[in-house]
Amino acid sequence: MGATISPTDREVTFRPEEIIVSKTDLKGRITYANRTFSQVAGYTRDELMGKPHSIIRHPDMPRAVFKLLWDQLAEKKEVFAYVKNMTRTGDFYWVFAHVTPSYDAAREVVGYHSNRRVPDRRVIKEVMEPVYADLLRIEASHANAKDGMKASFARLMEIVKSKAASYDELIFAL
Amino acid sequence: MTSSSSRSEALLPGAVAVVAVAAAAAAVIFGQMMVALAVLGVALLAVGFATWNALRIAAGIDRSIGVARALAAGDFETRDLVFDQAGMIGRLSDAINDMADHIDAYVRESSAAMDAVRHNQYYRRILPHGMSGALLMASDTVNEATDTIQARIDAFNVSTSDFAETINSIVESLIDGSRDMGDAASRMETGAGATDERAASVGRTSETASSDVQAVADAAAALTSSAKGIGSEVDRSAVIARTAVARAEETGRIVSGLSQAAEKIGAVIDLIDQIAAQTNLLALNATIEAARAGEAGKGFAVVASEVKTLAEQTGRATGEISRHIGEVQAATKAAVDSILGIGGTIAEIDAITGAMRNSVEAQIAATNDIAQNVGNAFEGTRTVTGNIHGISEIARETATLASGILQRTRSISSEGDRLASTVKEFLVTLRRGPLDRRHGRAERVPTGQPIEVKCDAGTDKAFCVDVSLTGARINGTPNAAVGERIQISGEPGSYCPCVVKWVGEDEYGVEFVAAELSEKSIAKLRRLVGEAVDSAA
Repeated sequence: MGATISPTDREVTFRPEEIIVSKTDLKGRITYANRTFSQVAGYTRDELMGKPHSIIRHPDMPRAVFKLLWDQLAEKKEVFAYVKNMTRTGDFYWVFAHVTPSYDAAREVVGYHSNRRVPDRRVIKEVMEPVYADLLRIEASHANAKDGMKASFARLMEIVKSKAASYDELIFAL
Repeated sequence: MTSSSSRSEALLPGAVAVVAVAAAAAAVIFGQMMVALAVLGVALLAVGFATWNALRIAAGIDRSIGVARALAAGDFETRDLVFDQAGMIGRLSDAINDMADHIDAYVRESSAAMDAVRHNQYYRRILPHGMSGALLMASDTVNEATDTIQARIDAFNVSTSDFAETINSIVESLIDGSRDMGDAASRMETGAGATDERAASVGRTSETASSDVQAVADAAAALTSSAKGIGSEVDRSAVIARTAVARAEETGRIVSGLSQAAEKIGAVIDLIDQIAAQTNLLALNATIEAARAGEAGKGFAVVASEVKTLAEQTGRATGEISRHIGEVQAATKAAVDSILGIGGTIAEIDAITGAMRNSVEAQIAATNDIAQNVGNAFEGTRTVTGNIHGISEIARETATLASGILQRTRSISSEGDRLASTVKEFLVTLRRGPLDRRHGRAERVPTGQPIEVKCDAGTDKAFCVDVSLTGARINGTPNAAVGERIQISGEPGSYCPCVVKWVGEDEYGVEFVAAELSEKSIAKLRRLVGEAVDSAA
């Protein structure tokens, strides 16, 4: 479905008091989306249910960021990420995503939960857009997608290491 | 607006049914049966819709009740998954989901922020976006609390690193000082060795000097005795000279006496001469007389002539004697002069001898002085030798002390190192103490290992039930009260100091004294507990 959408340069926004909420199962399939999600992304929730979360993935997002996200989740850690998402019509919207594992009563991870908030414009313009462009360029420069992602992930870690003690700390310092 | 639209949504089908039934009744009254049927049909439709709507609302309320109950039970995963319902039930569904989302967000945020604090990370704050009212206030409170904790931790870190720095600089200066002291001690040792050697050499030299001085003393003593011999010789020659003077004086007196005797002889000779002249005169007289007496007198004349001859001979003899006496007197005078001269010479000799005596005495005094000085010198060299031996002894003692100091400084250095590492370990323990304790509780591993328990009362054998990074559970009853220190050992020679924390029915718990654990023990504990390197460190 996502492949058929061509991205536009129109930006969609939501209000600071709003949060975009979604839950997925362990494989990343959407099990819940709130109204704001539906309104911003342009899908009905019935359409979203059971779909992979990548339905709203924007081609400008480097894959390394999602690798980092899934690596962190695999260690049962929370993840923060500035993410550029794509609506049903190809418009884009930036979010500051916070993804956490969800547990059942036996403290087993049963899925993931994502709260997305309105991001800081300054961070998007000054940091994220140039960094992601850099990572994307690295990924595109490799014929093999796997090698590209490896190189771009290494670059991301390099950037993190040069600025802060950890990725999380860097994100909070921005 | 919501409530009025909800009300109209709830009332509309009923109102339609009531109006339709009334209209049907009116139609029946006016005999319009077809209209009545049609309007009744509308009424039935309205009732059917109302019933369906009521069921829909009931189902929606049931779902909302389900979500609300799940929330009450702490389940934030449940949501109303029937979306985009029309009317108030759709709004209820969204409102319930929205409420669940916001509470969920708050719970996730606050627990994540607190979890970060638990892991000694203070940059993690609750994101206030999307929160409002009490949730926002609670978020602010948690964030302020985290700020405060961070400020305290920062202050703590500053003071512990200040402390560490201070300790390190103390230890460094201690080590530096002890190294300097060690250097000094080692120089002192070398110096003492050199002193000992030099003292020994000085000792040998002074012994040589001593024997030389002894030889000089002997020579001086010999000189003194020879000077004394010369002195007695001089004395003796002085005595001889004085005797000679006395003899010469005596000889002079004797010779003078001889001269006087000769003078007396001369006087006698004069007398004899006078007697001879008288005799000659008498003889002459006698001859005259005899000549006058002629022959008778002739014999007498012969005697007179004889007497005259005798008188003449006597006169001649006395003249000769006088001459001899003169000669004797002259000789005597010469002898006296000569004796006087001898006396003078001898007196001169005596004077010279006296002078000699003085110089010999001076020589004796000088040699005595020399002997005394040499003796003093000898005494001095003996003292020097003795002192040198003393110095050697002191030097050797100094060397021993210096090597002792050297050893002490080495132990000070290693103690300093130990202090530094203990402090470092202490601070590490201090900084991650709460983490380790929590890990310890979470990662208590069973061992069943036989151990030795050492306390004041003695050493016991026991079993370690389980162990964590911070303590252990031991089977049995300890010989120490809660709060007292004991030591446990899993392998010979490596004891972990710990404090008894609790005593149960058949087992008791101890907490390790983290700051006193050896590197080896810590490594073994980590191995046992299977703990990866703590990132908090």
